[in-house]
Amino acid sequence: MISRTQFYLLTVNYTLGTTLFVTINAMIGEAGTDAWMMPLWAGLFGMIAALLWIALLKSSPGRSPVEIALEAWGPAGAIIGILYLAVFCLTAAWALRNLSDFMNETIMPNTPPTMFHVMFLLVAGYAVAQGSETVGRLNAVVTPFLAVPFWISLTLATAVWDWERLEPAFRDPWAIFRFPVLLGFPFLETFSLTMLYPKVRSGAAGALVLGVASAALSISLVVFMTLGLLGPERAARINYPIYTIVQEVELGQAFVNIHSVLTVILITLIFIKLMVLLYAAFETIGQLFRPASRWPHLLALAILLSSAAVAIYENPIQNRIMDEAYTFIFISFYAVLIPVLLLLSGWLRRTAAGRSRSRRG
Amino acid sequence: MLRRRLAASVILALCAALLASCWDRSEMNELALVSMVGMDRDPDSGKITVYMQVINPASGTSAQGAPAGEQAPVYTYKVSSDSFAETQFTFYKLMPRKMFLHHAKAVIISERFAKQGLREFINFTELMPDARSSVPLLVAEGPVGKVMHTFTPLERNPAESVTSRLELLYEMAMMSGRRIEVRDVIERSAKGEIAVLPMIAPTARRGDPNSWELNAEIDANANQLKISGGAVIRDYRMIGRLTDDELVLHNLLDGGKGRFVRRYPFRDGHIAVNMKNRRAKKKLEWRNGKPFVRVRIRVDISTVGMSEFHPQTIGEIRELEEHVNRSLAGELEDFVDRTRGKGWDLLRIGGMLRRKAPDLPDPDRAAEEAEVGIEIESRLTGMGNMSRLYDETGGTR
Amino acid sequence: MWLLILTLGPLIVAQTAWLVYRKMYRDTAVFLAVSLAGFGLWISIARGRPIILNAAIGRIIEAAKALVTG
Repeated sequence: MISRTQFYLLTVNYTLGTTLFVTINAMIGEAGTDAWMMPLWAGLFGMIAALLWIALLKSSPGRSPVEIALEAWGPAGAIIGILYLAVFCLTAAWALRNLSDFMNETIMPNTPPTMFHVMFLLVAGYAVAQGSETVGRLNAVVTPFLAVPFWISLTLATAVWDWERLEPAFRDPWAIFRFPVLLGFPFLETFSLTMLYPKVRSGAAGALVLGVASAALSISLVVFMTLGLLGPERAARINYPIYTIVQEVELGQAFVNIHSVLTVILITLIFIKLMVLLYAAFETIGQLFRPASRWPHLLALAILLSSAAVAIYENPIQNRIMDEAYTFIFISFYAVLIPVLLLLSGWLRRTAAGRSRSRRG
Repeated sequence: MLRRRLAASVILALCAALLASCWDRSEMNELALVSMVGMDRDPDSGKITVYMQVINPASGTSAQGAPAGEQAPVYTYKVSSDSFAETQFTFYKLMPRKMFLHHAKAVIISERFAKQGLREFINFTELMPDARSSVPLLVAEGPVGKVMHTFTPLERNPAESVTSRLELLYEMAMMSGRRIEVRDVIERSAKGEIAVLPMIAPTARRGDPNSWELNAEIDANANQLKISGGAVIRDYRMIGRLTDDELVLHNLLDGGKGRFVRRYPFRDGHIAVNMKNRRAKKKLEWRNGKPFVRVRIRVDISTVGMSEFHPQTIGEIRELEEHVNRSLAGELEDFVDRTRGKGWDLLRIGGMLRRKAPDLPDPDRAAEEAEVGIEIESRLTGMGNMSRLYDETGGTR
Repeated sequence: MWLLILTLGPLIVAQTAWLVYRKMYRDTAVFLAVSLAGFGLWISIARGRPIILNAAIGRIIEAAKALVTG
């Protein structure tokens, strides 16, 4: 069992994980100087979705969505369960691939991507095998080591802040509604955390919603700082703007290359996301098939994820094109449509049972 | 228990092997630390020439007792090719170590390359994940090869010599601006605004410039580099030059916070006024539907360099301040008129209009039609060491 | 290719053998299902024609869209 603070921190770190990599550049490319407003809207949307999931989870307390589906729909529920397993595996593969792309393109160009994937899967697999307590506690311990250097590095960079880069302001606050892909990712992906929800001792609902809100504020602040430090023209074109910002930080004459600190922070954030997704996939297998052993299934997942990470997309450009076309539909399907159907069917069943009970008695 | 220990040790061994970063390791003595980069492009053939100035780790204090005298502090490698990408790797025909660009301190481009346009170079630099765009960019007068093949006295590393001079020129003379880095060129050009870069040239040559022994000579003006003048860059291309005098005025208008000196005729002679810019603000106002840019500059003046006149009364102080206000404003207005006449929007009025009035249909034309008003507010705040100057005539007063 | 079979083959076979030895047949089925899926994906990667997953998702979504609208 994990505490609500640990769940909150998991939510924040999970959401920040790949967002800081892949969406900042896209957001600024679309909305320019008003891009910092996009995460706020997306976060609001994410909070509403979170409330939907909480409603579903509260209708069957102590159960994860997979268990709810199994209970409600029987064999069809098992199919939904397998679908969710596939979804968690695909998302984990995406996270792994984003990570190895980042490492290859910036700081370690010669290392084969599979090495990164296997390394991370080894550590994440071990953590997941120990259970939810380990996952929650590990994240809680690591968070200060991530947050403090990250914000210190960005603050050091403010030596080159220029308010002019943020003008003209407030021209396009509704930009996000033209680009639904940013509504879907990353906030709807926090659905994976619902697999951890039953393991929270108390106050999970508040922690989830607050976590989404905090993540949205964080991302908005990071985009705001990126705009003020790099300017919209450069930030829209550079693949990893935060990395470039920290690369250009100069602390006196001696400390001119502190960007490796940021690399470590970013890969640890992605690791946390991977850990949660691996946990979700592992729990799904556990709840669907009730196996007697632990490690063999982690090994199987590792084999599957290491191959999926290589095959998930051809290259970052193709990934972006596919993302813009399909991600919103894909994520909405499993994070909005299915939970809504589950909620509805549960509500219908309860009203029917209530009516039959009242007719009988 | 044993099985768990075995499993744990296998995993740890794997982690150790995988963490060693075998593929991407770089030992310190396998790296060539590049301190300065030079670029040129032949306008006829389009061939690109890149110079890399690499620090020699064997020079300095560790070179005592070297058989042929001291070693050169830097080595310059030169490579020519048809594209930037090819030059990047052709260096290994000459360079025995892996290029390490993270500590490069300055980039120098030839004037003819700057005039052809830097957009391709900028794209190439930004594409490189390990090149930093926060280094100063200088334009070399004449061939950049000469600049790259010049030692500098007193400061052994030419790149350090150049960058520390740029800082001193900014703080003490305002002959160098704040926004002189590669990323400033990118930002300004991407917005259609103007950036001004410092210019560098080799000084008179005597003897064999390739020899480090030249630095045993006493004449520090010869055989070295001089930073002077400003290159006006618009749309990634050099469109003109500013003299040192104009450079001071430009940096003042651009908000530079350094000290500088102006010499004005006053009473019977001249005075040299030491000034420090406190604040330079440009405000956009609208008069009769046309934009009006009001520039208000506040300077602190000091008598520390004024060996010709020393105010003794409040009236004289006010007279001095008023005189400085008028003279500096006049100078700046002439400068602005002159440069706007050439079509150079050095005040970045176009950018201001785009930021403050984004719905304007044609900001560039509105910028051309805009009027500029300059107001100087000077205050005597500093003094030299004397309360009264030595007089011409003898006797006490 | 052979590197793949050499590394993954013994892993999968050994693990399956252990599971069968312990009479955990359901576990064996689940393990084989997931790991063989991964193995199949690796084979496709090793042969140079990987099954690009996000393109596959795209095709599924397009088919679903056609089903719904058509």
